[in-house]
Amino acid sequence: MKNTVKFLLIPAILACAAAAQAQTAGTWMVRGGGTTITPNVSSGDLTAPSLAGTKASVGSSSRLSGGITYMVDNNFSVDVPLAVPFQHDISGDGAIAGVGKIADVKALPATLLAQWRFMDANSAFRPYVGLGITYAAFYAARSTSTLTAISGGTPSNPTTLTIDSKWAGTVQLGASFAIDKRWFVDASYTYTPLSTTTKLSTGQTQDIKLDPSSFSLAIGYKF
Amino acid sequence: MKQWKWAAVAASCAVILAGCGGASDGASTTPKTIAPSVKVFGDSIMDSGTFGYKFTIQSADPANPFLIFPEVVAANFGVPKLCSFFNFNAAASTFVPNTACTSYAVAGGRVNNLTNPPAPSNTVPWSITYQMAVGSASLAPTDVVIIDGGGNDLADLTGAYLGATTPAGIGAYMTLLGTLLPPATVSAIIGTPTATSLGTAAGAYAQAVGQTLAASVKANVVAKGVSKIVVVNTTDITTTPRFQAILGAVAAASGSAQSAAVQGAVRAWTQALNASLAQGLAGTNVQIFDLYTEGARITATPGQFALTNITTPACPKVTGGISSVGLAALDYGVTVQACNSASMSTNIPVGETSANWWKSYAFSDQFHPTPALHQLIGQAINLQLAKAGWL
Repeated sequence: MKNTVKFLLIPAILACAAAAQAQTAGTWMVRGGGTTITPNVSSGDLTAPSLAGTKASVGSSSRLSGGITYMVDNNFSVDVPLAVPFQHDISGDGAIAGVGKIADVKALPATLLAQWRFMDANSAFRPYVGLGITYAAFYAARSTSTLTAISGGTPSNPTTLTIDSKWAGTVQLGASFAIDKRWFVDASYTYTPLSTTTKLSTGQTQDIKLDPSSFSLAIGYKF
Repeated sequence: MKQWKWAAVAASCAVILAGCGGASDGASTTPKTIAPSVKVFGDSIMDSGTFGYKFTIQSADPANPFLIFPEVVAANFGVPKLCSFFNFNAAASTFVPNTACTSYAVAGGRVNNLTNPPAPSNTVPWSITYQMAVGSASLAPTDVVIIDGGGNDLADLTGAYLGATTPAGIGAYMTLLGTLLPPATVSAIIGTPTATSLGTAAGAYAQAVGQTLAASVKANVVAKGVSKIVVVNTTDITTTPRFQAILGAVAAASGSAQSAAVQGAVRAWTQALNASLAQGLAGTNVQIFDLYTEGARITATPGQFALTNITTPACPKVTGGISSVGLAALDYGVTVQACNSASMSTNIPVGETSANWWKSYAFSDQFHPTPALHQLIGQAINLQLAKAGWL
């Protein structure tokens, strides 16, 4: 019955027609905001043929993001973060430090989190911890002319790269702060121990630990 | 209802995932710097076809020739092809200029071409300083210029030094040194000839070669306001199959200590040449590419560069790859003819198993790199230029 009521209320979200609601069992929450993903890179060496110690660094990316949370009971929730695709710049490091940007790649981490929310369901402030699984999809890797030049390619035979998409676990720390009975602010930090492999069209590969941290801040609505 | 909501969640995820799907991997093919022209001055390792071919393994596909290292660099400055300004007419034994071409490098090129037996003159295209003097007139400040020189000078020097064991040999050696150093200086250094004094004189000569090259680069290229100049210094020629054979002969005749001493001496002269070249260009905008160090790095760790053989030339491994006079040298037509990608892949030599065996060899003939080694040198230069913000 409760679910039916909520379902009926969905079209009214934008009109903000809402009844009082806490983070109780069966509550749905949607949120929108921003996320910054910062990889904590530990790069392996590019395999031969290469200059010994050829490494890469990966920059951070900020994007609009949000998510949907469902309260399974008063403490346990399931959360799906959503975001527009991130784009990370990849630069030379180690023996090739100083060459600047060698590629960029789009990344879309799809994560499913199980969360435990502390305090009472009606508390204005509810910290939580989460544990989940992430599928990090890397696509549209685009090499720069610099990568082509330093890998022996030419503009007519450019060096391209692919980055393997990978599964990884994710841990989360976060908290929500109720503004009123419907609106809340949500802040969370997630850490994903993620390793992947980059492959160049010239045949070399590079293992790289990305271990991204991401910080999200969002405004949410309960219904 | 719960199912409906989960379906909605799944659908929104799918929409977001689909919204980004379909974009495939790719590359930016626009160079960071596009040069109107890449001009090249030097010797055989930079010769794009003065004699009708490049001094490396030939590509059996004329539409896709192998790139020598200045061509690897030029392509990344947006100049996909280099051709030779000087074109040798064998019948007339003359060089015919092609003013549409910008590679002035000529195989056999010397900084001091007075030591070149068939054409001892510094006003012929074998003279690298002459090449620069000719090319200087049309240099634009936005051109990219690549210069090498010194390898053949050191080969001449070493040959004369090894021959300086008789009075006639010492005389010829002092004559060679006197083409660049004042004869009085040569006599003063050598005094009563000893191995040490003869070697010291060679070091002075090598320094003079470096100074001459630096002075020519400054006068003909730097003075024209060219902002992107690369000077490739001289590699350690003692690691080439040609000099390994010479050192082997020295070892057989006089022992391995003598062979090691000769190798040490040639290396010292090479470093003297490179040091005076660097000193002469100090304070200019020239990027000196240290081929000596890069070559040593490749020689020390060939596997890191996917090379399996850095001592044996690849061409003699196939039928016809060694000339009738027993030389695996790309200045012999038969060697050039035989030494191409198709013949090499078809005739897999004993001890090799892959049709690509020759792609992991460093030397094509006794003295010249394979396309694989050219690519490694080219990308190493590109790396330095990328660090300088040029590529």
